[in-house]
Amino acid sequence: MNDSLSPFERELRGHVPREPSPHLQEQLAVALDAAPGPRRRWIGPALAAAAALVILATVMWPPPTPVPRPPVVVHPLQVPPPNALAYRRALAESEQALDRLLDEHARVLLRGDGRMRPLDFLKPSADPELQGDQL
Amino acid sequence: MDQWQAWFHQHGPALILFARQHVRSHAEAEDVVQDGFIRFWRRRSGVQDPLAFLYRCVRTVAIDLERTEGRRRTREREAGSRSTQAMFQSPLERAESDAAVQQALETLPLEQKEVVALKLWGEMTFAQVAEALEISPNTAASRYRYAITALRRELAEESVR
Repeated sequence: MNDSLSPFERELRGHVPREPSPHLQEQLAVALDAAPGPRRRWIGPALAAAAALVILATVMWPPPTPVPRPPVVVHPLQVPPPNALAYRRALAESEQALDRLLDEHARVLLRGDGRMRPLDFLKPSADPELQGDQL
Repeated sequence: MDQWQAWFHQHGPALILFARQHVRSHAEAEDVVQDGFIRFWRRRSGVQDPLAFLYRCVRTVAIDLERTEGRRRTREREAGSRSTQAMFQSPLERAESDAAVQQALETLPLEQKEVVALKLWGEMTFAQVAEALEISPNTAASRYRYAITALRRELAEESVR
């Protein structure tokens, strides 16, 4: 590759291209004088990397799945089951003891809407003396 | 003088001439150069050869324009119409010679016209021409040789007529 020019090429080069119009220079001034300098080359890749990280994080760490709440368990009755024997015993002790027992049974046996829970919900006591007639 | 103005002052005429190889009028060439120059100026940071990059930007805009107006141009080519606007500054005593060179240039295929414009009026090396056109330096040199031979023949025939 020889970059030197022959006489014919030099003659061709002697033909001078037309000048750009003043209008073009004005248009360039409008576009370039108001614009910031060369765009920083790292901005594009940096934004792309940040977006990729967000996507990756979303895929790798999905939002925690809600842990199912344990079903509401009403503890078995810690008092004697509601039977005649239990009430007789409580009454024999005192009227207050009977009230306390009734209150306790009401607390455990009544639902929020005021209706009674099924009686099979109650765990029978292991105490043979408490195995009276169920209400 | 701002830096872009120095660039434009130095390369503007050759850029217009280069763009004219793609488009038919001086006004279209100015539009191409405007967009290409703005693109070049905003992206020039870190470019290895800014001059080759400048011409590449202008060429990209010209090619985009050709694609969007391809149909119209095809019809014009088929109709055999040629540009009547001068590519060169023509003082009276050189007007005929300038017109002959322009006419000879227009007979060349686009890929040869591009190389000639870059090499002769862009004053670029073959390496720069190659980078601007995204071809190998050997291809650039080869196209240039074919183009110069064709131009010499065309202008010789013109002088005989």
